[in-house]
Amino acid sequence: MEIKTREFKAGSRRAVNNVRVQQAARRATGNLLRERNNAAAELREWEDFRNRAREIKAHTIERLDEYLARFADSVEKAGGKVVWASTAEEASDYVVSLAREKGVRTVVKGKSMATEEIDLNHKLAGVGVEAIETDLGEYMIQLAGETPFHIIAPAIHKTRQDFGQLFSEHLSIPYEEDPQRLTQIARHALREKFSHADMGVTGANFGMAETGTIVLVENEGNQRLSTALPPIHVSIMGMEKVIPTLQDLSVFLALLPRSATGQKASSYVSMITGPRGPGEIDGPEEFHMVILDNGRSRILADPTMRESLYCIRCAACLNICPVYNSVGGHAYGWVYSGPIGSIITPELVGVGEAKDLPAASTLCAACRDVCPIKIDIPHMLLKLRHKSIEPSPRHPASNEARPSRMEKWLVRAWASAMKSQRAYSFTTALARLAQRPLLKNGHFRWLPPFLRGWTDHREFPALAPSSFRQIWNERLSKDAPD
Amino acid sequence: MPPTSREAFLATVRRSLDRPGTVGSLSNGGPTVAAQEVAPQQTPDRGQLVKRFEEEVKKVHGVVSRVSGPGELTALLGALIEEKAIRKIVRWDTPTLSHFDAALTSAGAEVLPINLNEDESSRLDQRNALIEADMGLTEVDYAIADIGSLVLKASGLQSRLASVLPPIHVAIVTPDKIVPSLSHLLPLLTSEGGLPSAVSLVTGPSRTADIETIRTVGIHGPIELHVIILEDG
Repeated sequence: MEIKTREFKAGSRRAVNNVRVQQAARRATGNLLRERNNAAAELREWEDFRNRAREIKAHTIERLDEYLARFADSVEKAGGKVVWASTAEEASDYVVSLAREKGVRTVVKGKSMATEEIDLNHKLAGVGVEAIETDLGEYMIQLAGETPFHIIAPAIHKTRQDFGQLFSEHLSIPYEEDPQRLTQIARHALREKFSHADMGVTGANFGMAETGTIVLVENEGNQRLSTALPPIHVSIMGMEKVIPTLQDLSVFLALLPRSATGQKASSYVSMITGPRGPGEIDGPEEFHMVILDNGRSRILADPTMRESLYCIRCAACLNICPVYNSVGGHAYGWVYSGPIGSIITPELVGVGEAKDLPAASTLCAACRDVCPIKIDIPHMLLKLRHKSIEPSPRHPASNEARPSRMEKWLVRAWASAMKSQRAYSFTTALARLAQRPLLKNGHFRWLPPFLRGWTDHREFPALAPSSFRQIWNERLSKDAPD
Repeated sequence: MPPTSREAFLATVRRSLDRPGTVGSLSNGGPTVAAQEVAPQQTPDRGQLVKRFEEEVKKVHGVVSRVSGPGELTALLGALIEEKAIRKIVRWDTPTLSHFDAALTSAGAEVLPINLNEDESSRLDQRNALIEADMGLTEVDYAIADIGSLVLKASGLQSRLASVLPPIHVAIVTPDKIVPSLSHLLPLLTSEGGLPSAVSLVTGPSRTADIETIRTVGIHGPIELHVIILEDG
């Protein structure tokens, strides 16, 4: 997917001004979050599951090389082929050359963020292979020529009318806007594709080292069809998705559907181990397992950022985030949006490319509280803000990212004033006098040019007429108990 | 660009983790995080399990019936065929299900067991039947009470597609197949030798909420899921 992370500010401005999209998205995230909260409250051992999941992830990521080796051995033992892709190009090139070699004309795809990362649809289209997204939301996004708005619900910014219009145009059918009937229209259109597909491409929610099994969690059934109908199945999995054993899965299957949609169990969980076994009736003849790094080893190398690899992509942090709910998914400019996108995107595409993402947070920490794996997102946002102005050999900071002399001076002045009570009282008293001519109804209507970013859109609160210390000394201390 | 070699890929991972030792070598023993249950439960009695399973399937919009004995089951299937105007049925090729063929046929439906077939033209016939069928009839390998899920393993008698392609899926569950929870199920899956190429957990009909988060059914898999609990008559 094309990287547009530099356009974050322009993108968010566009989104903030688009009331229709914002309303549609907020209604969806509100619904998802409410369902999630009910489901979490209903499970007595919720906190225990979260702690256990975190332990399992921490354990596995700390020994990722071993578990990857074990996973690969198990996949091969089950008759699958393992492909190691260090970059997006290596992964997409492999799938493209496999498709050409096998004479593939149509590829059906299950929803997968990893395939967005490697821009697979465009790469396949480039050699004349038709790749069809079969998840309803992704199908809609593909018809609209857009990118996913949300990690698990890619088309939440679209209304039923949008679906109706696009279906009508692309499928040459009369306009329809009833959701159930639209669903049936998509079923028939996509069945046609499934029955002719030569290759199925999916992601993987989990990969079990013990058995070489990949797990696909879904509600629609398109993953089941993509992995059972075509003669070739290719799975593309981010390397951090490995867990040790089948038994560990019970913890993650308790957390993932509840955090994502509030379901106790998603409609379908497929555990796929290699291609069709000897003596089995259906399933693909070939299974190709592409293990993707694409920048993840950079995250692994930074102990502070490492836990961002614990993410299971439930998107609860998007639903709860005040920033995501205002700027929407497209402003983030790449595959992953919301708080998790703000921490992994800069690492995957380069901190200098995406410095606005970690800055776009109020640090309210709601994302950490809602995360099923308790990933400390706010802490990593701060670390990335630091990284974005601190040049390093790996991430040279751009000139625009470097703080200006004025900014440095202000921060130093602020620090020294805050360190001494006398300096603090003196400077605030001075500021109270200085602010008077600039105030209107107790607020700043404008600030000097280098601070105007704030007052262009809202008022800035003034310092209170007297400090707490003054009020205390004059009045409150008399009422205080001894 | 050609893929990276396994050794080089794992070396990068190991370097990033700053772990000493030989690249790709496995330390002995399994994971130190023991795979134990977070929420150990006592196994409830059979009656409670069946009741819980029934409730949970209903919650996810499955249709549940209880029948005692093959006679009642045949009658129920016949009624379903009539009500839904079912013409074509594909089914698992298991001995139990073969007993119902005559009854299903006399109720007006064409029944085709899906099996491993070496003959190219029969394979094609089966594939077409799967795509055209109105109903898929299966048993289950297990069922999970606390989440209302069916567990279906692929095998030489058990087609994966028979439970996902037709718009109506009818699954027959006997009480002995029901386990309390997912953590009870998982050890059973590997205890009987290796895993088959596919194990599917099925919880309710196919659904989506991709249009304005409104729940709709049957986007790809079955529009209706009927679970019939067959108790000893």
